[in-house]
Amino acid sequence: VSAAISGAGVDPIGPDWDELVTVALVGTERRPLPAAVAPDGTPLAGAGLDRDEARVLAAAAVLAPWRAAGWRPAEDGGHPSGDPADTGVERGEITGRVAPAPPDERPVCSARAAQVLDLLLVPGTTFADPRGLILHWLTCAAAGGVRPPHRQLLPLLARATADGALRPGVAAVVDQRGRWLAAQRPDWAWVLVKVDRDPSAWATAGRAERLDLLRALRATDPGTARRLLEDDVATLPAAERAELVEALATGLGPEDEPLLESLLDDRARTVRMAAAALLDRLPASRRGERLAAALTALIGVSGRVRRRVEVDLPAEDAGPGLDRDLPGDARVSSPLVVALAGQLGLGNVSQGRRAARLRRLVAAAPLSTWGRAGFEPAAVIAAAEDRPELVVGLAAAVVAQADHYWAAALFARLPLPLLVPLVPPAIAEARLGLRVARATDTELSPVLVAAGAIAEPWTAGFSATVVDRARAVRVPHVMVAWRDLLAERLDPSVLPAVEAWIAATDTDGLRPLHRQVRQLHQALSMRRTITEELRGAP
Amino acid sequence: MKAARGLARPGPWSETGSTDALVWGRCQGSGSTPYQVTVDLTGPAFRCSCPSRKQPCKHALALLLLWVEGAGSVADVDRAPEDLARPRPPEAGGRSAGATDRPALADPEAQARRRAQRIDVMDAGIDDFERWLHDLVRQGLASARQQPYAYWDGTAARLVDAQLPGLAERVREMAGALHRRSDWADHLTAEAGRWFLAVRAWRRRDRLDPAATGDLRVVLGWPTGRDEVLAGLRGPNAEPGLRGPNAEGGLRGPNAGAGERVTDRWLVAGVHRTDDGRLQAQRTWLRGRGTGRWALVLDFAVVGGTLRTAQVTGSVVGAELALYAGSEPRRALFATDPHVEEQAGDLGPATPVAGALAWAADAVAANPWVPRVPVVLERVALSAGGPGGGAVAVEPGGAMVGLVADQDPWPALALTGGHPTPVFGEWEHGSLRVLTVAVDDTLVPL
Repeated sequence: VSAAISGAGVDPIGPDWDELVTVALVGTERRPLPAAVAPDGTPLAGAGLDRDEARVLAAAAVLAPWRAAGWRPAEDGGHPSGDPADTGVERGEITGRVAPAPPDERPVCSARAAQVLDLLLVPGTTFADPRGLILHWLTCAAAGGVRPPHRQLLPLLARATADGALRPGVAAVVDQRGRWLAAQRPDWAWVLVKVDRDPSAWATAGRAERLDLLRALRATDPGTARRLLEDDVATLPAAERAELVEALATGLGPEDEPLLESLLDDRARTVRMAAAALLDRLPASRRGERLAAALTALIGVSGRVRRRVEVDLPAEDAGPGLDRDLPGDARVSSPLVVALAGQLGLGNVSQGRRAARLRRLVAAAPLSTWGRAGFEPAAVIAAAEDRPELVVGLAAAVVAQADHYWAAALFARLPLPLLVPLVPPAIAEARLGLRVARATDTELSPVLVAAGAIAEPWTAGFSATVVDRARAVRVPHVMVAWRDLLAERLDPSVLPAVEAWIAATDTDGLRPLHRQVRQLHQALSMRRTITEELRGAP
Repeated sequence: MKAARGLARPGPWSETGSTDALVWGRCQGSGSTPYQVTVDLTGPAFRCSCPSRKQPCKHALALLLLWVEGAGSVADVDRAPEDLARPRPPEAGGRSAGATDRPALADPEAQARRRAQRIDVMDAGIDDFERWLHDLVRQGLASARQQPYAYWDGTAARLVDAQLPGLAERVREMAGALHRRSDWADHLTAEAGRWFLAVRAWRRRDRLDPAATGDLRVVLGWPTGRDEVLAGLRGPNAEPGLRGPNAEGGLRGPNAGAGERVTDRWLVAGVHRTDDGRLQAQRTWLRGRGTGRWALVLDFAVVGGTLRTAQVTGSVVGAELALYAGSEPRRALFATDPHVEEQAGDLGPATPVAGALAWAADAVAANPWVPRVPVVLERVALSAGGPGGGAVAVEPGGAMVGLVADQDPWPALALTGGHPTPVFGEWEHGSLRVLTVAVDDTLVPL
């Protein structure tokens, strides 16, 4: 065969091949093969090559390997050199390709940490939902100043592209190589800081870009951002005004009050409501004073020896002043009120117009109003006991005003998850620890969810309390609700207790529960490994 | 099962049949090619060419239903057609996964008879194929492109019947390539030339040397059994080759024939895996540290089965290889269990792009059907956006080659960052498939 090729003696120049293809395309019955391309004299030109078809095929047989063997690569028209700073532009080269990636700034993580991440990234290996552990890995890596190996960049980018919650963590650790890759793929553009923080872009920006710009600018320069909005607020359409006002939530401060106060007179109700919701968070405002006065008028005292708080319902017609300060229908609850009512188990309580107004007023008025009327938080909360509108209103005020003093007092009676971030972790753990120990299997879930909101990692003591209580659970589906939470929050010191728990459930009747506990143990030990391996740069 | 019910009627079925052990048929699915369905009643085991990963798929179940309920619509015959009774060879010359190619203790006389029968069948098939090739060229490739898939599939089916599954596979692939490739006219002309070359080479098989014989067997799809390779020149049935009754004088050198053994410390330069929905295939490229020779180890498994564990890219394994007949680079088997000796930090001797192309040209000259050759490039930068939009490998000197279309370039880009690095890959029809990159003194598989 090789002799047939090498001994062909056929000139393998392009036109002959093209001529051959032309003949083959139209067929020999319409076009004869020119003699020039026939491979006469080759070993193939033996019997059977008397027909045109055979001659075309023989020519193809000889010329095709010639073409394959004689193929030469294209020359690159100008490519970036190895120097990252040299994009080729200076040398006058026009190239569609990017310069090589600059060197990474972070050292690569330890081999063990990389192995753990491998386990988490390969689908279906160890964990049904490794998301929490991946987040933990990313957080620890970011804190430890290390990066994943380059081979893991692609799976990380792909996963975070599909799951937005992972993006900040991934963007924080992918380093130069990750940003270099992301710059070449539109679907990875989220890795790069793409938000334009240049205020001069405001004038020419479209609606979505204005919103992005305002949000980004509020984080770094809230004053400038506010002034941009202030100058244009009168001319923007209502829907966009409301959107932009809501964006002032980032970086909110007393300097924003004059603008928000003026927006209470806006033409659009949505804008008025957005401004009022932000002013709820600024109790020291003029609106705060007005609402304090309105609330004070409703607060009374009963009893001479043991003073009790009495709160009257406001009048049906509150007057134009209060309507301005509390825009919108009071019976339509804000998202915060809905969440609180849900956590209080008051989701379906319907209230009259006057009760709803009182709730609105209590939620928006400064909490200091009660102190000025001479009442401690505990007394107010006791009086609110059987008045849902007061409880919800107070809780909403505590969350909006982020008042730690009131939060501690309210939390003592009502361990709402929304209050947990405002309460010192030690106090939250102490209160919730008691509830964990006393909770029935079904009550356990809400208490643990509240404990999940504690800002700091659970202490060893609290973790032990939780595991002790959890070990008494006998129904696997109860545990499904909070297994991942435990895996995320438990202190690693409880690992021996969890091992004992595994052994205790290793009986026929408790198989499903046993599986749950084993998965919990796996996740906990994985989390500990991640923490240890990524603690500080190697 | 519900889907199977719908298919359990004679309508979509053709060429059905059954024996005591086997039920088979072709089922017209949504594609133009009917699926080949076989049910082994002794297992029961199910085999179907459809892309479904369900085992058994609806076609196999429907075939069973049709056979049980169909009142003779699946006729009994004495023996199953060859292509259905055996899984299709995964690659020309590949060892059929899970199939026992021949009884362990073969009766030499019966074996010789079977071989003679096979050669008769192949002779007839080759004649038929040559007539078809002539028709193709007489009527013109442009009109062939207008033909439905069935035109190519029909020819492929006849080639399978003629025990030429390797050619059948190439013909079948052409149907899709004609509509996928922009250079389809060049491609079909060249491929028709290679088919014609196979026809002519078969006719003069008694004058071919062992290497060319091996290459021809691969392109025709006449598999060489594992035991034949291992038995080499020593066994009683050594090297059956293609020799016909008059071919005893065929050239047989110690080199290039089946069974040649090479002992070396082999660098595992790269591994490539494919999974087409029915079959998993694995190519392992080895390079002798001492001899400098390349060898290719192929493994196959049906989907759902387990491929033999791949050697780890970058490790150096000591082993004796038994080589298949053929030109360089040659297919091989591990004759002894490979033991890992060390991890290599580099790919060994590398060449510029020009050198790799020269080696590829030598390989094409020796074996015009060679599908791909292994190349180690000493320094190329990978880039996502070449002039045509595809990924390219660029040499600092300026030579630029494209990456194969089926390779996702991003893993390689993540590893190299666009910096020039040594790479190992397969040179395949004018494109490079990067299998391994050397970064930071480590060989990293892609």
